[in-house]
Amino acid sequence: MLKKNPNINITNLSYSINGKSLLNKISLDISGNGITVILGANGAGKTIFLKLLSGLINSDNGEIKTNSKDFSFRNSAMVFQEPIILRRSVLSNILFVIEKIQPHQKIMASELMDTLGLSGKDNQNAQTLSAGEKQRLSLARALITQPKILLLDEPTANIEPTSTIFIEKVLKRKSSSGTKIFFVTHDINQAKRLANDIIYLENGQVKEYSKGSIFFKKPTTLSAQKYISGIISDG
Amino acid sequence: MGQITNSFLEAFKLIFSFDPELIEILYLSFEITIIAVLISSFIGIPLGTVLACTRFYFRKAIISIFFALMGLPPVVVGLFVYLIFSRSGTLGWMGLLYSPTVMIIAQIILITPIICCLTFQTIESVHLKYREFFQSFHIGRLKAVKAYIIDSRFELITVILAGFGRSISEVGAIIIVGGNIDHLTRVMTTAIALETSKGNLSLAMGLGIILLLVAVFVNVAMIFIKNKFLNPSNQDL
Amino acid sequence: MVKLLTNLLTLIVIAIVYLPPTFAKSIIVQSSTSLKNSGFYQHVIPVIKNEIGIDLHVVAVGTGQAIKNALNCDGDLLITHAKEAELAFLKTGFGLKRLELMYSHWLIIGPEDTANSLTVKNDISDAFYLIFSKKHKFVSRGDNSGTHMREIKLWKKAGLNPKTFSTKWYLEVGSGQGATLNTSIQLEAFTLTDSATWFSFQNKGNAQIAYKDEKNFNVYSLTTINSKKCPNIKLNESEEVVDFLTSKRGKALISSFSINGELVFFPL
Repeated sequence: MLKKNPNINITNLSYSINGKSLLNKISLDISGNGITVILGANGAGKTIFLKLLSGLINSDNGEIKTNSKDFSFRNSAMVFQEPIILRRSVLSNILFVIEKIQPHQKIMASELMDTLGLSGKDNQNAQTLSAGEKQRLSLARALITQPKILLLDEPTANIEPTSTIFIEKVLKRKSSSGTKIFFVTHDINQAKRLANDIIYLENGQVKEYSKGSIFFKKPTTLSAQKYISGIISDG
Repeated sequence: MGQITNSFLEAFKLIFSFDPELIEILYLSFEITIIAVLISSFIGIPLGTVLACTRFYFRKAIISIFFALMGLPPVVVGLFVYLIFSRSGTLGWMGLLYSPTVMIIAQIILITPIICCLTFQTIESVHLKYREFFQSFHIGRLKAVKAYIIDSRFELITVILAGFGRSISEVGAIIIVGGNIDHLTRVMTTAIALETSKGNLSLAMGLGIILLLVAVFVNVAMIFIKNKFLNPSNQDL
Repeated sequence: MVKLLTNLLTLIVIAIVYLPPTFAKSIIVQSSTSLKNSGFYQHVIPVIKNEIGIDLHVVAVGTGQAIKNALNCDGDLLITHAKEAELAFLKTGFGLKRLELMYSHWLIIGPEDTANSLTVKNDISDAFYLIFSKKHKFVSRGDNSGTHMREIKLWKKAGLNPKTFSTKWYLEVGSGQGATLNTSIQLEAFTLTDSATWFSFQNKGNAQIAYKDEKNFNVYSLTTINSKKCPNIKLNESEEVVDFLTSKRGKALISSFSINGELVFFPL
């Protein structure tokens, strides 16, 4: 029997704080595969959108639906812009998010540490890692939960290039093995490298949603054109 | 100037004389303080943690009350405890007035708000830092609270030491409920009060210097813990 | 839940610290501060313990506070020095029996240079009047202690009302005897005290005895507590202590107490 293609359906998603609308009636039909990069100027609503997807906050209106039980935001993991690291060793930071640790998960943890360039640091105090290593650690911690959907909020904004390369490499691999990825960034070049499709937000509304290849060649809206060419600053 | 020099001489004479009376006073001071601090921690740390990580009706009011209680004048606490444990008071039948026990009770009333509030501040800051992460990974409440406590364990030790410092230097409450009875309820601070009232200022200062040394020791311990364990550059954990 | 925990912990503490009535018999004595500060109790307690096997746990507060504590049944025996207050206490029914034990002397303490100005007077209340008329600084206990009560009495005897005094020279400190002396000496003021306190006080500075009252003495008395009003009182033990202190042996013990070679207490 053929498995149906996973799909995410968002209708009329709205969110406001104290009467100020931050996201306004977003409706999208997104493929459950590949990397979706969310672009937009500061205050466009990117982080809010990601938090709504993850369930960290609840929307005022609208809904987010997926087309199968296995593929759900219940089974998602989030990586924050500022990595939140527990005051304990690298390994126990990774294993912390697992409820009952199985032997195979320990193996998986050390594999993840290898792929993210953290091998040998198992027992090191995670607080002593560099900013980039901390972000790699929080990605490893997200991946050990084997999420179907991975949400990343500007994970490489404040870190060194080596860590960025590690993270992008792992994200591409995960994406090709079937993990859906939402990725917020300000870095146009990074977006070009990663994106299968692009959501361009402005003032809480979707201005453009298209394939990456199309978006960067021929953005349909003026503001997206300006954004890509760097005229709308990121602040 | 002469009197201050004399006081230091007096302090050292006292320390190195190993005067049994002094040792008795020191022993009682520490016994009362340590028991009071332990019990206050057993009450204050869980209470502060609950206040920091849960949301319920009257929570803010309770927090404000505890913060206000931190500034409670010890004499008021002393009188309150005296009235309760006086033989004509509610708990007078226990016959605890003028005993070390009632001094411990007064100390607990004084220190618990301090430990509770400082714990609240410590845990709340960790809670705010970790909250989104725990929520997004569906970490259960119990496991979360455990993580808050474990991850702020060294701050909590300094919280306990702060309670200790306050407790060992307290005089107003315990002199009322303890009565400063020789060989029974006399501690460092009440002995200082007595010597002052006898005009024996050098001896009072001498005892004060010993108290100061204890306080300095506690503070050094605090700094040591901070540097050794709270410094991110430290490798062993 | 928290309350339960608190109760539980309180019980634990009690178990740790409260050792039920120890082998030694003891009574709580509510006492005037002057007696405790003079070292009198260190002189008599070991002997009493030795002779009749009773330990005295002395709580030193002012006479007024001592009587108040006794009214709360928080003492087994009163040793105080304010006759009127003691008689009033007997009237309440809480006091059982009052026995005058011993006396010391009332002293006016003053700064070195002016101390001699009071000695010519033949009654202590005249000296008080002189302080008033010259507006010498005077420090008052103001704490309802025996000494404070005596001071008020002396102002009245001089025909004066201390409530009308200017705070420019009359200072109520509301403190114990020691703190009052410390303050008075620093301010170079006059103050009333008793001989036991003064002889044992170690921070005299330049202050001196300006007047010694040879007519009216500072009388200390023992008052036992009525066990009908306070059923928890250890009446037997406190009566034993009273009997001992007022016996020949007890009187000899009192007379033998000296501070720096000066005899201070004279049995009655």
